[in-house]
Amino acid sequence: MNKNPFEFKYPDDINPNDVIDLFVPVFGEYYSVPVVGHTFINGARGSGKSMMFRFMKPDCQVLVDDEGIRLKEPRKICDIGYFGIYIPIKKGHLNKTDIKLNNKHGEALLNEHFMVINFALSIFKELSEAGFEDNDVNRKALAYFFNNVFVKFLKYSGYDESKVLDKDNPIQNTFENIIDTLRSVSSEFQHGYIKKLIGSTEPIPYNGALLLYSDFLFEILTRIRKLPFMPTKPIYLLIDDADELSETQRKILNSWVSLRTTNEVSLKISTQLKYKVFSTINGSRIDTPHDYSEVNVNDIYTTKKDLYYKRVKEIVEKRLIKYDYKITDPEVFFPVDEAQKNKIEAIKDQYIKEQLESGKTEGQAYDFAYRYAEPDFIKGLGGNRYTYSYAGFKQLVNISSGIVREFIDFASEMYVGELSRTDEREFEFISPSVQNHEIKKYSRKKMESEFDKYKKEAANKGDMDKLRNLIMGMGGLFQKIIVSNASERRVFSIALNDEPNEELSRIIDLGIQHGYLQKSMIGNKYGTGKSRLYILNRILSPHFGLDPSSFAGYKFMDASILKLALENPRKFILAIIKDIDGAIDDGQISMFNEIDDSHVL
Amino acid sequence: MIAMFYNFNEFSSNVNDLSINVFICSASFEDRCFVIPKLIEESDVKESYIFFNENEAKSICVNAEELSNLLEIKSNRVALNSNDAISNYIEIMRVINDITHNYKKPNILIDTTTFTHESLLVLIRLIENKKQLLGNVFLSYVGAKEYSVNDEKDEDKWLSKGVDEIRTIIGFPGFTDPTKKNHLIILFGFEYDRTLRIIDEYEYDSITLGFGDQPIEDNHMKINFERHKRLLSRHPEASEFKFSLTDPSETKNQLLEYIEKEKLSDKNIVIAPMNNKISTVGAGFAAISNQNIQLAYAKASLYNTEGYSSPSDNIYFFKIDFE
Repeated sequence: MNKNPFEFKYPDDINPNDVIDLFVPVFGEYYSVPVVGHTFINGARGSGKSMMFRFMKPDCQVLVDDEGIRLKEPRKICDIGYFGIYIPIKKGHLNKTDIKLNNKHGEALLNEHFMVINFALSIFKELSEAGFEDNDVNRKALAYFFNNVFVKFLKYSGYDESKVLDKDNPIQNTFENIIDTLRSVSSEFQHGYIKKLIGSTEPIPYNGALLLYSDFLFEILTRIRKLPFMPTKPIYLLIDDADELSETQRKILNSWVSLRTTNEVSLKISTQLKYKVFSTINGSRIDTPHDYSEVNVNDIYTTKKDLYYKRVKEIVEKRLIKYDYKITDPEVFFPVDEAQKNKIEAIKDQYIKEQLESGKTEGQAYDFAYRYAEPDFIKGLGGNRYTYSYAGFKQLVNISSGIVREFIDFASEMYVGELSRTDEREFEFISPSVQNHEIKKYSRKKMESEFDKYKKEAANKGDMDKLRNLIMGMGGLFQKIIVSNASERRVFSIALNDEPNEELSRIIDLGIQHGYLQKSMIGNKYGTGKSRLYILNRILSPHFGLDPSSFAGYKFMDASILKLALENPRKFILAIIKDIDGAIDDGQISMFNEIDDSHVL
Repeated sequence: MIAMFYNFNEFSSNVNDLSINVFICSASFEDRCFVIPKLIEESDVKESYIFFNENEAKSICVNAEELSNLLEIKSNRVALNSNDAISNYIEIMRVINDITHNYKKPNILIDTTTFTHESLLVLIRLIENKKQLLGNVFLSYVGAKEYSVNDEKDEDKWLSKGVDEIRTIIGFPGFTDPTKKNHLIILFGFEYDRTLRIIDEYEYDSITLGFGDQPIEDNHMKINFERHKRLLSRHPEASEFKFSLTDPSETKNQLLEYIEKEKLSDKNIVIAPMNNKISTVGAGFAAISNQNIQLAYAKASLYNTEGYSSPSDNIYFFKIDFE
């Protein structure tokens, strides 16, 4: 039986060979990530940040060349282009509420000390697992590092380590000794200091060691770089989920970013868009591009449609190859509904012919056919509009609205659906009926059960009701437009002539926060400036019976009209469609009041 | 810890024999916050402290005032803010310091029923910290006959919604080592969505879902079981474990034995107590006994203030046996 190629796994749990097979090099878009320099990589959960870091670790980098192409034979660690050390920031590890009990006396220094111990522990654990050759030269160099560098910098930081290692000590054992020493430093701080803060009415003086970034960690890292088994290239600290640091700790990290250390140590910091602090511990700001570069993963995918399509295609192709599917072309694995395609093609051919006969140029004729064939097909379905099929890879990529995990998520459900259709027998592709059924189910879930979940969680339920009305109003309007005689029928966005008031802004923000809407700017109708543009998430297109393929169509209106939708979506729709040629109020908004749940595959 | 189980009359007559000096409770939007104060009205308690979260529902402040009037003894209202763990800690510590300053080896009764999990654990931690200066410390807990009383269908029943923040509880920072694997233990109650959110936020290497061994009221059994099943189907990789909802010492021992048996001591352990206050106190004492354990609190965005619970007729009563 075929395995599910869209199954979700944490990047940490994937072995290096599989990482190379599955990872699509994205550094063409995120060019600043693998090059020297501090970088913030911001993106929602599921946008691929941890996978990027996984790929940058040495166990993966030895399998590829500097362009990310798989090598026939792995290269040596000392030949890789940079040495990436993964430092995940786990909830509850550094941001402990107790440490805030001392918020006056040396708060910054104590937090920095705690961060440095934790980072150093992660660093040496990663180094110990990198698989360095345990030969004579490496043993001597690492033992020398321990006895003469590590112990010395510890001493400068106030910690005495009396251990002396034999020059022929196996490198694994030397790493273990380093980790043990750091654990003792950590234990002294956590058990001997943090735990004493509870119940004390007076500030507790701290007399222990202070391991700081500039004086300890950076110095140690520059010496590690010079060890014979290390590449002569810079070290990248891959700091994952920096949002899990406290505000003080973020400022400390920003202070490290402000240091010009990038040729030796570059900080690659991922955040889930909750970081929001860009000042250092001394109050100065860090700025891009001066101090760091910035990659916003979601922005790149939502603004560059073709690039996103290419990325998803590569990702799906790699997965199908990895899981030994006979068909590895995503376009063939997710086929379109041929009967529907042929009907739409026939309409296109007819339109081209008619347009050419009426004296239009070939370009104009094709443009007309492209613009109207699909909407007119949907319109021609009349009361059977819900039978419109959303099958086909391209269509599904458009529906996934720029979020790769969304595509993987519904593709996984399609796999399960196809398995059930074939009674768990081997299959080569996902049939159009299963794709169509599953994507409609997925779309409906977004608008119904998921919406209900958000509403349940929301402090202000009234606002969630208004958001549902707004989405119903927008989706319903776009559906009326697609079957109208308007010149642009594939509308997916609303552009505002003026500024929304406080209430409308609040509800729109709520929609953006929950992923129902995206925001952008476009030139206004008069060419005198920019207007706010709100785009409906294409994941809702099956729910409203819309064609998700167009990125261009938008409807201009005053904010006061859009505001009508918050209370009454039908009133809003009626207010707009009265001025649209051929738009009819059929009293219906979503497609699902017509669909039989027992839809047969 | 010595556990006892009383009805209202038994509780009133027994509490009179204990020479309680100070009574500590927390006002809530729930009627359950009045049960114990009404039963100790006649006792010779000298002073009381009523905590209340002034930033939450208005009814909490109103009930705090009502409690103050009800307890004719010298009563002190202590305002807390559920969004500010540090200032709450300072307030709770001030109360403990006042008590130990004003009384010699005072006997204290803490009604745990309507504290937030976080404030209760901070209080327990500070009490433990000052145990040399204290006499006997007793805990009471009034069970709920029914939860989410305004919702008839089991699947609609809810206690809280959303999670504003997940934070470590002051006094229980644990010992964390980034070179070790991370294990999350959840003492699961009713709150399916809030539990899923904690699991998602932690992204830990392994999890244990703890379920109450037998619910405090029979009619909770079906809902607990269904939600428990749903949670396991969502997280089939999770290990399971059972814990007591009626005796904190037992909960504590079950947790410590489980950690030992499953060899979790080699991992960073976080416990999120999300069931009743009895098991929460048990988790607190487990983390006091094994200081490598961290305790976590997920602050809810919204509570079911209109119909959180109705009080049962049973009172659980314990004497803390400090080690």
